[in-house]
Amino acid sequence: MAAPDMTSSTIKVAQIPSAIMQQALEWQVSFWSGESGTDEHQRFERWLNTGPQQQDAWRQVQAMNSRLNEIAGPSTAGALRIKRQQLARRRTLKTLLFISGSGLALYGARRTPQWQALAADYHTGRGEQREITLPDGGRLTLNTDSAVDIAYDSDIRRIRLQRGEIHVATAADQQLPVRPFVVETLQGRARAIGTRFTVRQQDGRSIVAVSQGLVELRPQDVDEVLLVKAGERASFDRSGVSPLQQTPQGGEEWLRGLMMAERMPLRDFLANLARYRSGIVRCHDSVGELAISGVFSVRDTDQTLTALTQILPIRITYATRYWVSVSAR
Amino acid sequence: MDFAASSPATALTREVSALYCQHHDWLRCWLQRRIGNRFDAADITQDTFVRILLNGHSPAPEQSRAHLTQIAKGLMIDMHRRRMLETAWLESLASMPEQHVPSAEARAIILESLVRIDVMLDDMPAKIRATFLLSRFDGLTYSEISTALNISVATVRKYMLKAVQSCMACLDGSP
Repeated sequence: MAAPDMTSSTIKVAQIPSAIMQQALEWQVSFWSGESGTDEHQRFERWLNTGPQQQDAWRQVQAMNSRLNEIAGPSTAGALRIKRQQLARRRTLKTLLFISGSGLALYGARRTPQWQALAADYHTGRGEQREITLPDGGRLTLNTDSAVDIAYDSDIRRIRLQRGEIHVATAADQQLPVRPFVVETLQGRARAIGTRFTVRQQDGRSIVAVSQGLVELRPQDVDEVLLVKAGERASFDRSGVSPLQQTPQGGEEWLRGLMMAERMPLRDFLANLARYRSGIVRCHDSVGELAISGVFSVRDTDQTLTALTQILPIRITYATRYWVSVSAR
Repeated sequence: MDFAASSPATALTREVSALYCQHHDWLRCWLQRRIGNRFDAADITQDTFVRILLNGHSPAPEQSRAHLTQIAKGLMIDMHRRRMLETAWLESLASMPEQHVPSAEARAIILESLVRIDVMLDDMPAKIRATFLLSRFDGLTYSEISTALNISVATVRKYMLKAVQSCMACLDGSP
């Protein structure tokens, strides 16, 4: 690192043969290695004393190096990296903004709270699923675009669902007394009693579907409790629980990469499918009410979209991979 | 930005004055619609005309507005880059011990160079960028970088040679 310092305050832009400039740059790169030895320094001294052009070249390189040293450090490195991460995250979105033209409204509507994903213990991107073994041996699966914190302590086994959807297969607690197992959402908590179940965080609501055992729901703002049994589904917001529905599939089909629909309006179907892809899927009003039934793949959403055109009188237009419109044929 | 000294009262100054009188208000309104901030719009309007004076040639009359908006757009991007970097840097400084925080004046100077480096990094391939940052900003030796990025020391050296050439072009000592 300790290269001879020949910095001068006035830098004249002299015509230096490019071969000599190149040699000066190579010396700089050698000194930057942090591993140059004394004989390298001696060879450098000999090169530098070859003539005035070498010295001019070295002076110019040193002017650059000292400006670089002025700013280089952990904080500026942090700045350059933070900015790049922010840009990378916005890039996909930006592509969309240029296409749509109505930038800001869309940006506000589609912006996902990225800090949640960064702060969360585990998260998945669009179209990604991930299985995690919990500290007690239970299994947690994250569906597409989801984020959770796992907070186990001596009194409670707690999963915080920040975003998206999870499936939980609980295990018997190895501690005594047995600690309760709880999934917290933005609207309240679901307490599991020896179960397999799914929790999904939507805008303002949480949906719980149980396939085995029993789950107790407790909205945040009221003293109300609802028990959901195997084969049932319920949703709740902060102030209350909605009536139960029967769900033969238990809402677990996504674990196998599938999505089921039973006379589902196309609009809802596409909104659901859109969770598994980057970008936007738009449904034209004229086809939004078409009913759809069947089993579809969420792993290959392009293929699912193509399959739709074979069973419904619709047309699919790709402006880009990230912007899909569905309209009447 | 001492443009008065570098360009005496010539035909150019007269042309730019005319351009300024005709289009200044229009450009400011155009910018304000896009940015939504009166002060930024006024600043960028001013800088746009300064830039034309520094460039040394004014546009043909029928292209005046296209030319002005093109320059203004570039300046808007520059402003955005500078703000993002400044915010990111302050964020990063906030996590450091207090004695490392530079004065306001030093910050302005550093930010200037930081903007240049950032432009340079944008043009670099990702691997060279990562190598350069580890070496010059994190102070790693080439062997350490070679381990961190799983590339040979010879490759680290090759990347750094590319990076040093970009540095010469971007930090050539001129203000």
